[in-house]
Amino acid sequence: MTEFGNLVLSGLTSGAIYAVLAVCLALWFRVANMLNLAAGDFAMIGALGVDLLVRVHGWNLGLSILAILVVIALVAFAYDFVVLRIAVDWGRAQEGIVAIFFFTFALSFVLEGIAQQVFGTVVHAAPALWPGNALDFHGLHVQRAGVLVIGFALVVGVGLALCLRFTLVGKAMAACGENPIGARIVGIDSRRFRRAIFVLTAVLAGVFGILGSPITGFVYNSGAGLGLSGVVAAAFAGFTRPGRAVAAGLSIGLLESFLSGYVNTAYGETLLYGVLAAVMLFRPQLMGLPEVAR
Amino acid sequence: MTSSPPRPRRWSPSADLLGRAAGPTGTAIWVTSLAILAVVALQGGYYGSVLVLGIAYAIVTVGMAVQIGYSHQLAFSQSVFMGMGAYGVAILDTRYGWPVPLALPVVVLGSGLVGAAVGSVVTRAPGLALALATVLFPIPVTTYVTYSDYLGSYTGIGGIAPLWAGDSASDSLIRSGIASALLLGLCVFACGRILRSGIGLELAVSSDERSAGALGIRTSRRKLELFVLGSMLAALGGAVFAGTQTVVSSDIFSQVSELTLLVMLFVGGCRSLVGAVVGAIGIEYLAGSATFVNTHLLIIEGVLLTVVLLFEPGGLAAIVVNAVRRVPGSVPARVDHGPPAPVPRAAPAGPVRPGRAEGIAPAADAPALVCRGVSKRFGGLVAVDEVSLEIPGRGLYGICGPNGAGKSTLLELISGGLRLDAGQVLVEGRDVSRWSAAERAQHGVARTFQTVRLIPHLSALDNVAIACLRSHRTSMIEAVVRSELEEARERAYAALARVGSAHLAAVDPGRLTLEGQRMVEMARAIAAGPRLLLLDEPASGLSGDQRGRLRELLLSLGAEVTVVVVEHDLELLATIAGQLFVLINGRLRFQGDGDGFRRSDLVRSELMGLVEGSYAADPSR
Repeated sequence: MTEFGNLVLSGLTSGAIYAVLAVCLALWFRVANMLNLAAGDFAMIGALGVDLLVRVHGWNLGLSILAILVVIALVAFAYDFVVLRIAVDWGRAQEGIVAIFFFTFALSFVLEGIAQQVFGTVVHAAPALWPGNALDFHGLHVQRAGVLVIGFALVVGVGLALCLRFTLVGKAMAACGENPIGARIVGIDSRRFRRAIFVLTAVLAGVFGILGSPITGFVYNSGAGLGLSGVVAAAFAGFTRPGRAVAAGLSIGLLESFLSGYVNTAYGETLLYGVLAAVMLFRPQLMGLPEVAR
Repeated sequence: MTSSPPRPRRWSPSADLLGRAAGPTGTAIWVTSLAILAVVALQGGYYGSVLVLGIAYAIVTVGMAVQIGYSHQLAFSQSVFMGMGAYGVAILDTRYGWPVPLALPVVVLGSGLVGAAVGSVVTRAPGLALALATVLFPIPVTTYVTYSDYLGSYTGIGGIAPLWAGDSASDSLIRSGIASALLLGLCVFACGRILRSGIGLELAVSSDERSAGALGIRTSRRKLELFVLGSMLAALGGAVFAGTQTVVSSDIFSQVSELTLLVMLFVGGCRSLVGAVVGAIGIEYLAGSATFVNTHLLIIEGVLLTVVLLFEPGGLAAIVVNAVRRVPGSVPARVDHGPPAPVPRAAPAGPVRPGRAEGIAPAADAPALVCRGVSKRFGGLVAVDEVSLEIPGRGLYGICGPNGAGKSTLLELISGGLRLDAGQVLVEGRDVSRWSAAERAQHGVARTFQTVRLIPHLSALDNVAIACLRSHRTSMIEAVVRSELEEARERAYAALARVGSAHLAAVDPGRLTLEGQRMVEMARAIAAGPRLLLLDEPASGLSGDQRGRLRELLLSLGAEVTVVVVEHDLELLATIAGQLFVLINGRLRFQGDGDGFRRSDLVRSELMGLVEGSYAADPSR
């Protein structure tokens, strides 16, 4: 029973990160009709960047976090300003699925390449924001970082949901994705929304990288796996429904945790991706993907 | 019989890229001989081994050009199949002592079977699901291989015999390199044949499911064949990799190697076989020649991919082709269209020929089309409500009604674009109610769309030729052996001449006027010799003059086949259609001939009130 409880807790913790990434992806997809495959890499930069500043350069923790988040925001802004502006606003991108995939796919690899040069190839983690041993509730071990992650995920998730549902900004955002030209006609600047959401979600991913990194640690290429889990979770929500994206992210975290706990530690991730690929192929209608793929 | 306008001697589709400019045989011979020359010239040194590695990758990217570039099937499973080929050869050779030349075909065929098994599942998924699911493939496979002692875990398997052994290491490398170059040439030839055959045309349509169905193309089968082709070429590339590098490790499966393959393809040119080869060898050479490139490979590849997608999605191949086109006199940029031919009054190119449906004999005296209690619901809305009608045979039949009456839906139900909720559709006595759109098209049901659906980047002629391909029923292998493209183009040309648009044969449909586009679509519909021709608002958007020409054409078509026209232009319909059907709110409310139509109170109140046209003002006509 205790083992089960611990597996649930660790599953919820990693699931919370997937969920947040999935929400970020869904949000941006709604606005820009593109998939951000680089979301996980922003998380990686957050964790490894703070670690580099604090451990190697001896900066103050708070200052490091601030500096790294600013860097992430600038990188995201620059990417949008240079690449996406040419691709989307100048109409240079190929239509459909190629645009959806390749642009941020390439960004992901560039970020990993830079991280490889700057951070090296050793596993590191940002210093814990709430230091100390795991909390112990009657045999249930709760990582302090896990508590932070889940708590912040709740705040972000609920906040975004309320914003989307009840504010004019939220509705305008949805309009951008539904019909970019229509949105522009009624005076919504879909480009500004695309840029704002891209920067915002990159920073959010960075925050979760920093919060969650004490649990697992990061290497230069761990963003890809993280981002993929987020993409898959978002896919199960048809890339448009943030609420379902959260549920899917948590389920994927739990599934991963159970598979490595009860079946095989080494193959946990392998099994997870196998199961996800199978669901995606046999039940594509779960995801509302047909419309997206057009 | 009037003579048809002079036919242009060469039909070179305007958007052709380098790989298709030369014939498949010529291209393959060039590629092979240049590769062999380079292998021999490099004398089996370090750069020789880099080149041979590039050739192995080129075999994979050639397959990707067909799969991703031409038919937009975005599957990221190449690196996995490449690894399967490499490890397959490595294990058969080192563990069981098979010589590599024997192991290679066995492994490639085995991978083809695996590809067929995996493909039969994955190609059913919609495009994005296919891409996402296959992106996940490398992760579990890499993990499995690195944990498996049988597969050599982290270090991989070494000591594989060369593809073609020689006296020394460098001698073996040269010989194996020559063998790989020959294999590459073979792949370029096979893929070139596929693209040059009718399949190449079909692949261009397969991303538009509705058009593909209307043309009788079974996209599911083509998608599977493509997946198997891509898998087998990837496995062959992997096998060549193992047989020339003599060591394999799990790196080959990784997502990085998948990215490298994509970068090679897109930099070289995703819609060109030669481009794919040049991209693969060039990138490999770049990575092998400078340490800086090798250590910063991720950044460089990511930036390259972005730059190519942003500024020239056709890659190097497109840059070269465009540059060559700018040199005056080098390549005829466009075939001269000549003056527009007058619309023929009599049928100049002979009657509409019985097409691919000729094998099935029509039931004796069966009416051309029968609908019995046909219904279709969209949620709570009953779009078509128990419509029963019978169309005896040859002639023009009109369906009209106010907006939203269910006319187009009824047409979709007859052509198979939508599934029936209830009722039956019989075409010449055969119940086609459960058939797919593609099957109905093969049975001789042809149609046009309300908004024209032609394939961009293919000439008007090729757009029509697609409908004439018998290859819808054949497999890709048959298409490689025997191409029927020229025959299909002959028939397509006749069909274009039939609708008076032969002078448009070489033009890209994007450059045509609406009338031109509608005529090309009409030619596409009649080219295969349909039993039943369904036209969805052929006159909408046309001017008075153009409508006049359309009227003549419809009359002459109606003399040969059964034509059902959905139209808002009541004047046009009433004067040409032998029988008219009026749909209102999904129900059939009137049927009768033109005179009855004019006198009908229902028509006056329901239709004339809505259409304030010249006809309503002058009922005596």
